[in-house]
Amino acid sequence: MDIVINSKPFENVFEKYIQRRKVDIAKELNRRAANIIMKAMEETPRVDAGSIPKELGADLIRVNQRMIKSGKRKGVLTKGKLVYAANAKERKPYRIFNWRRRFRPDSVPPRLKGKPTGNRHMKGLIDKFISSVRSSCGYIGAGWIPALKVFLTASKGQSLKTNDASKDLQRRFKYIENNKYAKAGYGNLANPRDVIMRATFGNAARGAEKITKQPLIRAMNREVTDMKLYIEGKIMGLSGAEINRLAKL
Amino acid sequence: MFVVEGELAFNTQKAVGNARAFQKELKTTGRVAEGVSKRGGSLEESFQGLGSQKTRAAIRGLQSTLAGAKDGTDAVISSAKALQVALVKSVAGTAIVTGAGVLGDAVRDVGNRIGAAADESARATKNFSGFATSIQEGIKRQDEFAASAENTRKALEGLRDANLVQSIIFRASGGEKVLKDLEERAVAISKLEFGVSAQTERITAEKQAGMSPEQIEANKRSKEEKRRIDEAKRRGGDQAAEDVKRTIAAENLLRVRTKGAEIQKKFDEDIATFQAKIAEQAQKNEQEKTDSFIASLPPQQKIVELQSEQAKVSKEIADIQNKGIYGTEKKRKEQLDAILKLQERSFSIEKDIAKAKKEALDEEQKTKEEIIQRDIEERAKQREFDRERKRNIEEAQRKLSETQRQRAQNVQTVGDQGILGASKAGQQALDVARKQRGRQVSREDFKTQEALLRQEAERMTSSPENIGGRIFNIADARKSLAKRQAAGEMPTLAEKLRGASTGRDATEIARERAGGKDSGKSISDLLAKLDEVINKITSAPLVTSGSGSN
Repeated sequence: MDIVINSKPFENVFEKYIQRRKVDIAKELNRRAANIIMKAMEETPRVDAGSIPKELGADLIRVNQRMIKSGKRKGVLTKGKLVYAANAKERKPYRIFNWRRRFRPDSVPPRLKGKPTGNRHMKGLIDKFISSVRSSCGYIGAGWIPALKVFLTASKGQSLKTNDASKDLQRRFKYIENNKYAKAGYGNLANPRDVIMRATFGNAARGAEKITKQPLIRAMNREVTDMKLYIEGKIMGLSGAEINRLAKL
Repeated sequence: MFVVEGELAFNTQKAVGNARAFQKELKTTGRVAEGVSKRGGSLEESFQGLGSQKTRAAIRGLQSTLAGAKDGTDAVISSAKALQVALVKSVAGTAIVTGAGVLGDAVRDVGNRIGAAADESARATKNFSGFATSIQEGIKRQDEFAASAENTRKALEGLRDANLVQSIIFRASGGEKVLKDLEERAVAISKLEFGVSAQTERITAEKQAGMSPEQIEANKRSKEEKRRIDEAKRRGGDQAAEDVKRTIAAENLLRVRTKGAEIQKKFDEDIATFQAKIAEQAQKNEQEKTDSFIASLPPQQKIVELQSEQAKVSKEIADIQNKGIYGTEKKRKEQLDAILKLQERSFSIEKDIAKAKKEALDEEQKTKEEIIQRDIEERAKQREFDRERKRNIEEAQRKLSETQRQRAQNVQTVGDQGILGASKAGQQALDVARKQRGRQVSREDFKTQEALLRQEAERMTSSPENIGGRIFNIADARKSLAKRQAAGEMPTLAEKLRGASTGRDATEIARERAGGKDSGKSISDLLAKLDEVINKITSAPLVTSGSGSN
């Protein structure tokens, strides 16, 4: 099931906007789409990666430190390696990690999958687990990147050929099969030859339907406001630079 | 998998339709903008150009008002400056500048409204306490909060989007931040409600376990409908809710009709299948009738009928193949199935033809054997007929020779009677001789008879059949001979048949039966001894010359 954002307000304002600007309609539509995507990425909330170890009850500790016994650097304690290890009192990471292994194996990277364990390998696994959780911050926002790539390429002045939807579908299915949902996003450029030109973009990351709907609406509204400002400014007879300055306030 | 999609569309046809109206608007706007830009120059000049000291004071007052607003930052001040620029060049601004108090009031008004919205938002959050015990309740609570937040949001967006001046004031007064906080709060509460109500999903699942699939489906549908109606009501009011209700009713009607259509379609399919089966059975019965009729015919006729049947089937196959196998997959499959059935039928007809030919051969063989047998019987009959004919011819010849002998004898006799009959004396002599001969003959016959009978009696006495040792006399022998003679004159039917089958004379057989086993032999012995007997019995010559006395 897809969630499609209502873009009627945008379309109504865009019509008035484009009638004042002497630009290519499809190109402008694509540019606005790129703006919306970038604003949506900005607005999409992300987890603070720094707070994850504490939430999971882990501390950052140095391991493998050793004292150099000879040579120029004798008596120097080496830096060792910074790893995440479970806090002795809470021991939360072990429990969370085992629970995930058992009940949500898809949320665990392939190299960490397996049955719940408690053996001596757990310490090394905890470090890897917390690192994988941290690296998944911003995952949903990253789901917009495939769409952004399409629109940014178009806006760089390259040929405005519409992208091949069937090849894109194959690419998306390949990622979905490998559980790489964030890469399964898509963007379709507006075709100047169509009667109704459409620029579409989608975020297929897991959890996007819960998190990214409102940011997208806000991004769209911001873009609408921007266009409205331009229209009003033109009505008032302001120049483009002045309108930009006002818009930045 | 969910995808959050945004779609931006531009209808070129609609835009072209609006172009004329837009051109008109452009001309008007252009004249206005031209008029305004003629003022030109710096800010002060603009101010001077605009008006009086009162106006300038008003603008300075505006600056201080904005500076003393809630958010006393540089942004506000710079926005005030920008506002001046805008006001200088705008028609609306001219109107406002002339009534500077109105602008200040507008700024205060905007600020107050933003503040009110922020307070409303905070109150809604504070009143939102407790937690949901079910998904339904969670959604309801979420919707309630969203409804109040939506009103606030609309008010704020209305402020922001009204016009350029108000938009600047809105942003300068921190309205954007309030709006953002409100939206984030709505998202957070939505998540919270969802999280709490997700815990009660297990309870719902247990309830659903006791329901039938149709009930669960109906439940889900009604929840979805309610959610859609509430969503529409929240966004667009009662009118939108009514529209959604009508849409839902139409969808339900379509679903029921589709289901009804599906049931009807299945029913029609079942009927068609049943009719096809009936047709197939009728065809089979027809086929069986034809087969049984052909089976009842004689072999040659059977072969002819089967060959004509095979020709028909071959023609049907050729027709289908000439038309070509084409069409949808279902149609092609039907055509190939038809050809397969016809080929099976053709193969079975060939087998029947082979069987019929074999039957014909057997019948021919049987007929030949019958002919041969008949021929053998006919030949045997022919041989029998030939034998009979030969026998008859021999009989006839014997009779003929006897007749001839008898005739010769008669001629002799007649010759003799002709010489003596010429005179009376001759006749008289003949009569005397006849009388004398008669007497002689009777005497000699008597004697012969006596002798033969005597011998017969002797034989009978000495015969092995005479068990008691009885002595037979002449009278007995006479009786026996008479018996034999009578039997020979009148043989029985059985004796005649036996005679015909063995080739012997029936009288002989009758005499044998009447006289015993040796009777045949005895008679032959008697006849053999007849000369001796005759010699014993001497007799004068019959007629002497002249005397006439013996």
